[in-house]
Amino acid sequence: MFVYAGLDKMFQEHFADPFTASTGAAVILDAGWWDAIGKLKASPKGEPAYDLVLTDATQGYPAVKSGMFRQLDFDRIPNHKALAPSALNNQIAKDRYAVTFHESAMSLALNRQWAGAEPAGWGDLMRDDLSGKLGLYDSFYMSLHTFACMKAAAEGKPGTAHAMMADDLGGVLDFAKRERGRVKVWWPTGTKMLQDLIQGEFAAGNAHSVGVLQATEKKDVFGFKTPEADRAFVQLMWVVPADSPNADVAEAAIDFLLSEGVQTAIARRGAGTSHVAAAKAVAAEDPVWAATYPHTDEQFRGMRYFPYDAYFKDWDRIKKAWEQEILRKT
Amino acid sequence: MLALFVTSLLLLVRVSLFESAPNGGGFYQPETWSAHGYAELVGEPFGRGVILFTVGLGVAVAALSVLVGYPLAVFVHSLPRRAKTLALVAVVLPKLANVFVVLYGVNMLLGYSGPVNRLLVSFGATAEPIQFTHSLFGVIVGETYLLVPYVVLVIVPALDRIDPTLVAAARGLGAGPFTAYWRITLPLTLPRAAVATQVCLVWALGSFLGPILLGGPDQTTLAVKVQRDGLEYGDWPRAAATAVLSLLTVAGCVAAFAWPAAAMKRIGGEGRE
Repeated sequence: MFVYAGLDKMFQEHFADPFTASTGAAVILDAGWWDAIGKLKASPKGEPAYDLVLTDATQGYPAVKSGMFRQLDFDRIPNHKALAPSALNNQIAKDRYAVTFHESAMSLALNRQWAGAEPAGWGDLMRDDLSGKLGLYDSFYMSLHTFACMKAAAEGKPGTAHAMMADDLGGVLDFAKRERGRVKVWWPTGTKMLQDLIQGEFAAGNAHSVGVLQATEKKDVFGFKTPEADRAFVQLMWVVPADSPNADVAEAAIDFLLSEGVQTAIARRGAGTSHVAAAKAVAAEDPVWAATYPHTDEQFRGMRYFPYDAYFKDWDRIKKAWEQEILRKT
Repeated sequence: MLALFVTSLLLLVRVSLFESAPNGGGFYQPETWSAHGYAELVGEPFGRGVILFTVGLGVAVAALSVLVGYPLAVFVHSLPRRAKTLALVAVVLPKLANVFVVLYGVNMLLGYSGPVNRLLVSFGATAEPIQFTHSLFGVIVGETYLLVPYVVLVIVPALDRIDPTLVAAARGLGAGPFTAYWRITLPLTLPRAAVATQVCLVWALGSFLGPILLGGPDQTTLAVKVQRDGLEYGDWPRAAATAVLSLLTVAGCVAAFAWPAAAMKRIGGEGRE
C-alpha cells in the first residue's frame, strides 16, 4: 500500500494495525511522494508494486487515463456514502475509478515578524511592502491558483479564481509572468516551507494547511489563514491497480479507511476529511481546524478542489510557461 | 551485471524516443518514435541553460571540494594519531547521516536568521541578513560540504603512504618546509587528488538535493529536471531524454578530465615502469 511520506505512522497506527487485526490481511506501507505511479507503471504485468495506492489528481488522472487502475465496486465500499457528495463530484469518481476526497487546503502562511500587518486574504500578497518577500510552492497546481486568487482580489473580484482558471487561463498566466518578481522563495516541500518561513526567508505565501496546522501548536513565530474566498483543496484518491491480485482486500481496505474512526483520527492530525460526521466532530473540538476545512453541510456543498480540469485541458501550455517564464526567466 | 546495466540503458533510450502524451495524458504514447525530448533540451534556450548550468556547477563544486578538502586532509594527516582518528571521524560523521538531514542543517546554518547571519549582523559586517540560501551560493556550499569528506578520505591515505624519510631527506638537504612539500608531498599525492576530483566531478554533475533544498528554479540541474519531468509532470520521454543527456554530460566531462588526470598521475609517478 502506497501512502504519502509523513502520513505513514498515522496509517500504521489507525489503519494497518487494526485492519490486520480484524481481517488477517498483511499490510505493508510504502511511504513516498511523486514516485508511486512511476513504480507502478514500471511493475511487471500481474505483479503491481502496490495493491492499493493513495495518490493525488495530478498523478491519478493521467494514470487512470492510461488504464492503470481498475473500476471499483462501490457496493463493497459502503462507507463512501458517508462522504460529502461534492467530494465525489468529478469524472474519476463518477466512473468509479477512485474514491476521491479532499485533504489539504491552500492556506496563507505568514511570518509575524516579517509580514508587517498580517495578511488576511490573497489580495494582501499584492501589497507593496510584501513585494519580493513572498514564498510560493514550486508546483503549479497550487501556486498558479494562488496567482489566480491574487488576480481576482486585485481586480476586486474575490471568489472568481476558479472561473478565471477555466475561462481566462491566458490572463492568469500573463499575470503570473508579470508578478513573478514578488516571489522571493519557491519552496519545494512543505517541510522546507515551514523551515524557511520560521527562519524569515520569506514573509508570507501559500502553504499546505496540514503542515501548518500541525506546526502552529508549537510555533508562535508564524501564523496562517485559509481565506474563504477562492478556497481550494488538494484532491486525493484511493485507487486499485488494474492488475492487482488482491483487489477484494484493497476495496475492503478502502472501506475501512473511510470509516468514521479512521477519518476522525486523520482529521485530528491536521488533514481535512470529506467524511461529514467526522468533520463535524473534529470541528467541534478544534476551532482552528474548523476555520480551515469544511464541516457544515453548506460548506461541503461549496467545497472546490484545485482547478484540475483546467490544468489538464492546457497541461502542456501551463507546464512550459510555468517552467520557463514563471519559475525562471529563460 | 553488465547485461543489467546495458538493458536498463537501452530501455531508457527507447523511452526517450517515445512521443510524449499530450496534456498530461499518461506518460508516453506507445509505439511511437520521436526525438522531441532531445530537440527541446538541446534546441531551446531553457534546455541549453540547464545543461550549461549543470556542467558549470559540477566543475565548480568538484574544484572547490578538492581545494577545500586537500588542505583539510593535510591538516588531518599532520595531527597526532589519536587526534587524527577523531578528526577523521568528525569528517566522516556527516556521511553517516541522511543527506536530507545534512542539507536541512546547512539550510539552518545559512538561513536568514541562522547563526552565520546573526554573527555577521552582530559584528556589523552587514546591516541586513544576507540571502545565502535559495541561491547559487547555497547550492555550492551545500554540495561542497557533501563532497569534501570524500576528498579527505582519498587524500589522507595517500599522505600516509609517503615515506617520511623522503621529506626528512629533502629537509636535510636544505629544503624549507614549503619546498619539501612542493617538491615531494604534492607530486606524490597528485594521483589520488586526480581520483578525488573524478569522484567529485561525477557526484557534482548529478547534483540533485543541493539545488532543490538550497537553490531555486534558477539552479535547476539535469537531475532535478529528470525528477520534475518524470515524476511530477509524468512526461517520461522528456525525463528519459534528460537522463540520457545527463549520462552523456557526465561521460563527456569525465573524458575531458582524463587528460589532466593522466598528467597528474604521471607527475606522481603512477603508470611508470
